[in-house]
Amino acid sequence: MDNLVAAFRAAGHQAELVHLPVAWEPERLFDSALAWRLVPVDADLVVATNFPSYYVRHPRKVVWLFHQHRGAYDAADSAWSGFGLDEASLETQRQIADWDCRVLEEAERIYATSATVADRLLRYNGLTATPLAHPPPLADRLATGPYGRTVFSGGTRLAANKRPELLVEAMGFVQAEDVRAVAAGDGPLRAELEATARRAGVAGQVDFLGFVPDDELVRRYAEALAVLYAPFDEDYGYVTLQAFLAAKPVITAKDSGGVLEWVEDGVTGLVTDGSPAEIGAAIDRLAADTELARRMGEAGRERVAGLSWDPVVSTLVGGGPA
Amino acid sequence: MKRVGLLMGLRRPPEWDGAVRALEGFAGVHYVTDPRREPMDAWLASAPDVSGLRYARASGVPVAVLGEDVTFPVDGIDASLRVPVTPFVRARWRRAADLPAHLIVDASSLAGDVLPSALAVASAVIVRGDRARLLEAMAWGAACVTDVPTADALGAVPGTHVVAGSGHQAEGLADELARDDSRAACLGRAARRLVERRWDTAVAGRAVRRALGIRRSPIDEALDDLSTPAEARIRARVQERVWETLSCTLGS
Repeated sequence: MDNLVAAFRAAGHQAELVHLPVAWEPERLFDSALAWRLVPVDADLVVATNFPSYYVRHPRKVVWLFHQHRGAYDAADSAWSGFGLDEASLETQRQIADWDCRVLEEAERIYATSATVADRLLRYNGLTATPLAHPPPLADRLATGPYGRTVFSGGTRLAANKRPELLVEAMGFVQAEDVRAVAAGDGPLRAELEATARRAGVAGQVDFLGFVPDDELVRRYAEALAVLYAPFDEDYGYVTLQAFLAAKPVITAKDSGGVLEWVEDGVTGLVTDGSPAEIGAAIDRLAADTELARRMGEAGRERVAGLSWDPVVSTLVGGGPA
Repeated sequence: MKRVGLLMGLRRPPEWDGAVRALEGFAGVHYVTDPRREPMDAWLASAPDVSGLRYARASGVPVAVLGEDVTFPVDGIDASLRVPVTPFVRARWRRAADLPAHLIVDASSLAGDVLPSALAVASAVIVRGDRARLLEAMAWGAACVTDVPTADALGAVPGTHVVAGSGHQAEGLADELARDDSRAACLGRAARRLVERRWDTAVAGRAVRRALGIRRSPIDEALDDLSTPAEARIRARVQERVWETLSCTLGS
């Protein structure tokens, strides 16, 4: 959101980021949403992006949807959602869906960060949103470099929905002996992933860097052979765009959601069935043919060449085609 | 509590009683024949030609004329007693109740006591020639297949609020609709909004009260605007917080 605020200001607008705290327990989920309904916002235009901020009331509300509360919708069956099939959970889900419909209807225009997010909004709430893409963090710094012998995961959180275990497990199927996996980022699964690597006998081929500064992130993208990014049903996928800005192909999975709006199999990367075996084979294919990696990476860079904040700002402020 | 004077002429419009009932519990209502003698906090008149309206308007308090300043549906429904359910949540309710994943309900063939439950969980609903049942189904946010005359009776537009179909064609259309969550979500949402706009006595009642200057707290109004059920947990949480705050304030 800081980048969005900076983009508004660069375009000559006065812009402020407004935060309210939020509690995610189902019992308290509506507290912040209700608070947003009562907060007076003195502005000519309000752009709301996430649950529950889009509950804000304003005569000129524009929604650029990044996230609804996925735990109440498509991720309801996941362990972290907090929703079951009990009466209280079902009524909470019903009320969130109804409230979401009403407050999103108030917007003069609704955009979504990706076609994946727009599709969910249509299926779950019967509302139409226009996809509006934007540059990822570090867009102005990422650059390509030699196609080395590392498969990089990007600076993604080591959490279940990102499926970081695929990088570790895939290395057990990689035949090319000099290829290494590099995982930047941290999260609740790190210890488990390191243990998995040891059990699989690939601990010597996988580097867990933890959180890395931006300079190192940029360097790791630049020197990678390819990027592996195969989350489950991703909303948008900054890692994909960062990889393409560094002209690196992306290996992903057929159920990775928003990533597939950018990765075209055989053109800008490789789309696998998500199994470690197929991902390992994809890594081997690129390791054996760096010219292919280069061609696909360049195609990816061309795909994101038009991404810029200027059309995002003008669309949000003035409307018109995204 | 505000005192609302009721100015009713010889003719009692069919929506009058509903509009007056909407004030019960929120204001004291008084039938008045001569507004010059009985000052009130607000006036509700049954028609523009009713006696005493000129004096009521001159009194400087809120005045609303039924049919002009406010409307109240005839043959409406209290939609606050029917909660809208989206297709995704319906699917979860069916799963929780061990019902078929794909459930089409023919509203015409159901007994009245099971109708609400069926309308709340169905993937799609068929309504044949029954205005009241279509209104009920739409209030639950159901995706409906119905004949054109029944849709017309409620102002429902085929393709926007319902799918038009009758006879044997209706089953096939309902089956298609039940398999298309996006379309069902669009139709169900639009149908519920139509009910709230034209047929909902609860929404109309709030509009009558607002026109007469009878307002609840900003929090209650915010919850009402979101059609929050009376028994919703968030309403109780708000009350709990209000009492906690008052207790702290009074205690200190």
